Amino acid sequence: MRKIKVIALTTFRELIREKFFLVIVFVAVFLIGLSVLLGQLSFDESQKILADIGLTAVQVSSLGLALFIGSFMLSREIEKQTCLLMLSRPISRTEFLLGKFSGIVLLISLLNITLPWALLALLNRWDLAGHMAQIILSIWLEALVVLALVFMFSVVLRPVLAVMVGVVIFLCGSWLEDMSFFAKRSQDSFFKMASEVAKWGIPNFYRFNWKNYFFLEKGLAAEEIGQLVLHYVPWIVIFLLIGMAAFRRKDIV
Amino acid sequence: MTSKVALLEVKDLCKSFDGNLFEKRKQVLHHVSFSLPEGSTSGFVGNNGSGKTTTIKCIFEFIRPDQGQIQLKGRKLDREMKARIGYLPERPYLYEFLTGMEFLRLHWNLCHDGAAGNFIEKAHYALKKVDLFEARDKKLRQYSKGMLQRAGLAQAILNEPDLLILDEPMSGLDPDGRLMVKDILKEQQKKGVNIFFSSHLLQDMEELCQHLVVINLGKIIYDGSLQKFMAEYSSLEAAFKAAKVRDLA
Repeated sequence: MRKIKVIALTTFRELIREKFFLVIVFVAVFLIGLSVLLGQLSFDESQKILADIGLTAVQVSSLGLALFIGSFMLSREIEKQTCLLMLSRPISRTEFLLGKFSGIVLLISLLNITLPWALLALLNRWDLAGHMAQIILSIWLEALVVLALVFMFSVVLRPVLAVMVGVVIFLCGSWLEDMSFFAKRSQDSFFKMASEVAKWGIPNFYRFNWKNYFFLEKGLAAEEIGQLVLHYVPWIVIFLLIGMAAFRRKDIV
Repeated sequence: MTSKVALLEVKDLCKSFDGNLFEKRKQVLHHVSFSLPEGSTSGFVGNNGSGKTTTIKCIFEFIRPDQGQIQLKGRKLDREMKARIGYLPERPYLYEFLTGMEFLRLHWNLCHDGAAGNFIEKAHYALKKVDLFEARDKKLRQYSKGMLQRAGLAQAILNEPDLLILDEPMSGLDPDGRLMVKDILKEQQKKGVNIFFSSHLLQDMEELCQHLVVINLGKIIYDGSLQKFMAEYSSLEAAFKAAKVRDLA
């Protein structure tokens, strides 16, 4: 566990010093700034606009970090052969992979803590901090699922392909409910079957898209939060386990 | 009577890699077998592409061999053993966002559980040895190629290993750098550290090694004492050329 922590903190330090992270933060801050301006155009919906665009900025930046850093992290280590020195030390490949994964998780977590605070400050709605925490939990876990997914693919595919597969699966997961709705009405048995397979084989990103619930009076029930965790965490574990199995067998040429 | 266990024993190692789409799998190691005696400095000689780096990568399990066995002191490579080995890869690409000290601390932390112990003392010693003490707080991205090579060597000797495995430790170094590396290796020899290193620089091999492993086109063509290998020749270079000719014949 200690070695995973050492690798995670080193990875975090590496990422925080990278230009890509700064670009992502800049984009998120720009979007939040834009939402302030757009909010002023509306007479009574300014807070809604600010919350919508602000939360979308948090989601997009978290997904961007997960997709791009997750896809390129391992391949860069292998291509540059920086992992050789690490793996020559008394650590297993599993610890190395988990350390790298945890480092990116720390970075995404940092983003998911700081930006919502800024958003709450702009909204001046500290009474809704609990709602914000629930929504951020869903965005954070969603990003971790995508991160584990591209991490898994990056072990066997080129990073650009891993990004593409990650985007495609994320979009399919976001449209699962629509697909299932149309499949029920469709006569095409192949489409029905594909929808059924996707339902079980792809994480459902639509169901836990809670960005619109910020202004709900009562927020989300504990049961729904439990469902969110029970849906996303097993996916993260499955993707990581497959990724670890593939990485253990990979030749680092 | 007990038989003496070799420091490193490689038995019947084979490895092939997938070629391009329409190419056959290419075998790069052909039943490679050799053993290194304890308490010696061993050189690993061969031309580019002869399989030196692949063999070393197999020793560290970076590459899974198709067949064969590798044993260190009669055991498979485990964590305890890894902590006692210092390694320098062929191209030491290091984490360039770290400073020299941070880089050494990372490797120290990966080898030692818990307390930092006498890290500072050991790190300063290693950095002074490779003449990087003054540059210890600079980021590695500001280091020259030779400095990176020396930083890699510093991490290899940091934990006072029992065995040093170095892949081309003198490549990319200027004459002063080469002398420095040779001095470090000689000092490690005096301390009783076993050394196994590959190099193209036969003069350096001649100066440092007692044992020699020669590989040509993925096959071991010699494994034994350096003295015996050179017995009939004026230099290691001449002996190496003759050995390759004999192998082709």
